[in-house]
Amino acid sequence: MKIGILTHEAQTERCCAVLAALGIEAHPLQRGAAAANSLDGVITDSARLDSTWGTSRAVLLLPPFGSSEVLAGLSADAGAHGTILYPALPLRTLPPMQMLHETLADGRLGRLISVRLEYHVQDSGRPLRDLLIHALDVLHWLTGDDPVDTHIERTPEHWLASLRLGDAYALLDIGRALPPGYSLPEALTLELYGTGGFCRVNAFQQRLTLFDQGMRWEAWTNDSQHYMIEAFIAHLRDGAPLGTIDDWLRAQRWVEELS
Amino acid sequence: MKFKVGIIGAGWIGTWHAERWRRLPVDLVGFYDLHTDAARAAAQRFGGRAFASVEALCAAVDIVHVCSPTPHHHAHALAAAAARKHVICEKPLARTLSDADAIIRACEAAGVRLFVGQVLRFFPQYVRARQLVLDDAIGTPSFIRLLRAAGHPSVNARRTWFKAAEESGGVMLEGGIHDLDYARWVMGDVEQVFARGLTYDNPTGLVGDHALVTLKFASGALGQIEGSWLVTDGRFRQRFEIGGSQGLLQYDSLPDEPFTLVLRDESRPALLPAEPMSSSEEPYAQQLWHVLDCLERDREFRVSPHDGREALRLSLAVLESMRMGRAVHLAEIQ
Repeated sequence: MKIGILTHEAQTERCCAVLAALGIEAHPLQRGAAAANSLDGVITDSARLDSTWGTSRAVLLLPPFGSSEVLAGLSADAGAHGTILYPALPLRTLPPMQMLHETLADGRLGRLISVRLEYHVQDSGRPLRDLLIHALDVLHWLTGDDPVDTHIERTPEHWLASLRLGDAYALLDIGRALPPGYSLPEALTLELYGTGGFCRVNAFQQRLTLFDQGMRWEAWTNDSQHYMIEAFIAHLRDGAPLGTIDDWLRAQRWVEELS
Repeated sequence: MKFKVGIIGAGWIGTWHAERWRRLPVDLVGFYDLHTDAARAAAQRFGGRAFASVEALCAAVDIVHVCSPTPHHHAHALAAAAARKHVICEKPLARTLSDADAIIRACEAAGVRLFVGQVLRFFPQYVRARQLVLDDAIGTPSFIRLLRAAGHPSVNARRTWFKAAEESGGVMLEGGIHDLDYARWVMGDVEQVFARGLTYDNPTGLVGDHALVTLKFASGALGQIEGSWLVTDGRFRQRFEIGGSQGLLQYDSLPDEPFTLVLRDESRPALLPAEPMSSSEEPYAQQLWHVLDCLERDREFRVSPHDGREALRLSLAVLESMRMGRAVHLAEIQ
């Protein structure tokens, strides 16, 4: 498998390192160069169609994504060339989040009662709307439900959104609350209660604890980009599920409604 | 002066406090309980005697510690005030604001002191965090997160009143009131609450109670509280995070690092050591010491009657928001 990388230099190095760890051949690309038609996929941070994508089956788009209109247009243009565009939704790909998804899908928590999700970053320039899109996408991915009946409180650095998801209720706490000295660049924690028990996830601390009949604890590394690229490769290899443009646009639409 | 103390309610919290009273320089005179066998058992275990009536106990003591179930706080505190005895009332001060007001008025009229057992104000981690906020360690506080989670308290036949929402008010009146009081103690007055929760009248079939609460403070800061009686592994947990313009304070009773201070101008987290509590810091004993000290020196309590009333008002606002499905301004709850 061959993957083209079309990003800025530091990002390219990082992507190449991840791909190398997965045993995948990485090809750094030059913007606007001739099409590299032997590529299976492309990883890029450019939200515009590029000739180098060639006949690649799939493109993993790293942020920033631009507006809904830009993203929808780019997706349509790529589709016209037979290429499917996937936005990076890395929170889904973290192993604890995958385990949580499986836990809910298996029905081990029973009927979901409540979800509290806290997603905070150190990056003082990161838009809160962007964080909320990721948070809402995660909720939809986990539960399959659309948020309704929302109530939101805001300060310039912090949003609290209370909403309903099917029969469950949820509280999203997102913002830029992590100070520069914090041990992690971002922190995502979830606590879920269901009729079958409760579950705590500290996704970037890499700890998932599941309480039902007993207690389980597992640990992983905390590089979300690594897992995002791994998921992209798994998708190319055997069609493993991956977040789509529609997922992103849906979450973005909800944020518009909340705003 | 060696105060004479009597405890009304010889259940779990009454005996919990009796264990501490008997180590303090007071005369633990005895107990009253609707269940006379419970009062007798407590007297046998902790000393003193079992009283046949509230009035008899009040006549024999200087301090009445009201540890009865919430719906009885009103009657028991009024009886103590009528006997002109100081009152320590477990939280919540009462089930309703009108009952709380009646207690406060009765104590004022009788010229006796009223202390409300908002014991979180005596937990060393919580006290220290508040002091750090006051000392400007994190700059201007902009948010607070609090959590209190445990299994359901109705573990024995005499505690089934916890399951009756009309009596106990559920998790946000019984447990969450600690966090609501602490949030107000640290962040100032709350302007608005919004809450969703699972109440006893729920379609899940669970005997449980759970709530997710958002707070908007008069300062403009935000807060959120999760209160739960749905914990299935039996492990009690409490947690806070207080964020400000210059840093973040974190405490969680479960992880290895129960107290972490991270400053914005440091390249690495500054860890405050997780000091084991000394026996002198044990919050329940500290609370009782504090009451005795304030009575002896005629000082203000750390928890005023107004604080107890405000904690109750916040809890009732949360319940009202859950019931109405909308944000509730505190001004609506009078």
